[in-house]
Amino acid sequence: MLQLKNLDYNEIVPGHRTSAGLLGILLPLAAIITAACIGRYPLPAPDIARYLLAPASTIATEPAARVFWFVRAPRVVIVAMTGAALALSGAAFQGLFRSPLVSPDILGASSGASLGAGIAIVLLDGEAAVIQLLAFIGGLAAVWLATTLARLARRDATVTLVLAGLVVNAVTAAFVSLLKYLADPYDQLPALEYWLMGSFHLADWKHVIEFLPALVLGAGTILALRWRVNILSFGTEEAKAMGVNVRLVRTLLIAGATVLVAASTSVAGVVSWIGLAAPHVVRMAVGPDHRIVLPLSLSVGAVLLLAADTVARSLASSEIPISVVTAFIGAPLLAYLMWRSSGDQWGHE
Amino acid sequence: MNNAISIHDLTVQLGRHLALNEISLEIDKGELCVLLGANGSGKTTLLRCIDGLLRPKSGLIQVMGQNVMRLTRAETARLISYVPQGHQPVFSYTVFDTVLAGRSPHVPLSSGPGRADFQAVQTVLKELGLWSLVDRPYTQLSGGERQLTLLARGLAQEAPIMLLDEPTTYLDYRNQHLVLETVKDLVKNHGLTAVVCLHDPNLALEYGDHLIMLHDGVVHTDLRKGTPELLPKLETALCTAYQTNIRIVIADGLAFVTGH
Repeated sequence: MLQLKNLDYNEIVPGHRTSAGLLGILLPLAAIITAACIGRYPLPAPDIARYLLAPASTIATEPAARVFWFVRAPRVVIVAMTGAALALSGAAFQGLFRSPLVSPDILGASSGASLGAGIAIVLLDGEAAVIQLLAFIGGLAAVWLATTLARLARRDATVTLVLAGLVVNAVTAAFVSLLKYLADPYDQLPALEYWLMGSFHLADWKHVIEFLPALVLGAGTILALRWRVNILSFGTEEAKAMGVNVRLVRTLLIAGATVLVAASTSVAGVVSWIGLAAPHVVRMAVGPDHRIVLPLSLSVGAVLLLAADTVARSLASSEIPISVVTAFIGAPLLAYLMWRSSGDQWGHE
Repeated sequence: MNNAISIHDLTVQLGRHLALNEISLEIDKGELCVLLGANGSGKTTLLRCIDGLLRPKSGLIQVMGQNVMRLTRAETARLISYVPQGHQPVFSYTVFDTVLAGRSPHVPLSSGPGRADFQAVQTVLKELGLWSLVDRPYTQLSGGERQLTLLARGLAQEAPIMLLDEPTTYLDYRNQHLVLETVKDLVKNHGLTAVVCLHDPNLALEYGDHLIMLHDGVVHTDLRKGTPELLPKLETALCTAYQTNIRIVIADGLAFVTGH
């Protein structure tokens, strides 16, 4: 953490910001390159540099270049985007709901997306694009339902939102179970189960292009409000007393985070743990200030999910579902950090 | 216009309970006004109404001549700062970041705090003697330091009125006086108007320019320093409010409140 005794604060802020910002950009870049090298078809880093600059004719004739451009590259890019999106929404929700235990699905975004995907797979027998679209809509609809329920309760408390999210999560989970029961056990059921465990094996540039607007919109909204998350985390009443239009800021943050979760779930299925664990890693490194925590969560989320996906696709002869790996990496990592940290970034409950 | 806060026929209903019943009062600019009263007498409810955090059933609250119910949150926060009791926060921000939050009503929604805000925080921290704690996480502060940090956060709002909700509750003897002494200095040196809820009548008597006793949701007594018969009137009010035998004795020219 910062040491700034006897120093003018103005002198210290810019330097600190620059080093954190530089690290936040370099770390995911290094992770993307490393992840692109590793795989069942290893690609040495100098070759990757050559493929990046190669003309289209070379790419068409060289198999390794095709592997890089059409398999490895879109995959590592979409993995980095998903990790960044989930971690940022997790960090925003943890600040907003003032709890370290909150993950991005607290208001039902990923269970709503699961229901959407389930409907597409079981009832419509839809192809990948239909699954993706319905998952995205399902995620948005679930959170809309949760916030509407909370508004109907007419109590301006965060706990009302949490309860509404609980209700929506329970109901959508029940519907997903029902769909599993109705599904054709040889074809649809495994498809749904695999979707629910998450995977990036279908990643291509089309996904990147479809994901990009959601990422820019959602992350842009949250990052623009990153300092207000500090103020909201003092509690609704205190934030109001400090002049924050709590309802507006909360709505914008929830909308931004929901777009991120719905979009990432729609391309990758359910990816657990990243949204919960990545913000903790960041806070343990740089303290609780959301002005730094939120942008760095983007980077750390990308790095963590890249690591998990690299393991998922290269450890065994067939691919391991991503949520299995994120849970195996994320949970012990969190336990280790809890054991190591002095607990300064959280107050005592 | 000399009133910082003026309240007319304010009635507040919380569920079925009438928390405040047609109360009227005036608080002058530049005075330290103490709200006294038993638990549940409506002190905190009154503070929340003044800050526009609670919608009254009827009545009018004017703050610096403006109807508080017509103001936006940011406009209200530029007129009134609210200092809560020292609490256990979820995130342990540094003293600097905690106080910086007070700059919120001066920063447009789409941007973050800038150089002018950092400068303002620095000035406030130096004035309250907190600069040596600037990078200390809030959870590592003592009770007195926490309360002063929240006071600094309120001060960073640069509002002419400051509301303090039982700022001395969890503090030891020395820190109770340190906090109230600081508030008194701010009132004197900055022309701040302070409204403080207190439980200790001795502290009220020592620091208050204006004492308001709430009892069962009405203003039981409204006394200013210098009112004739201040002490006997206060003694009667305290006996009613706390339903016990309270006396005010004078020793060495100072008044002390004592039970039985």
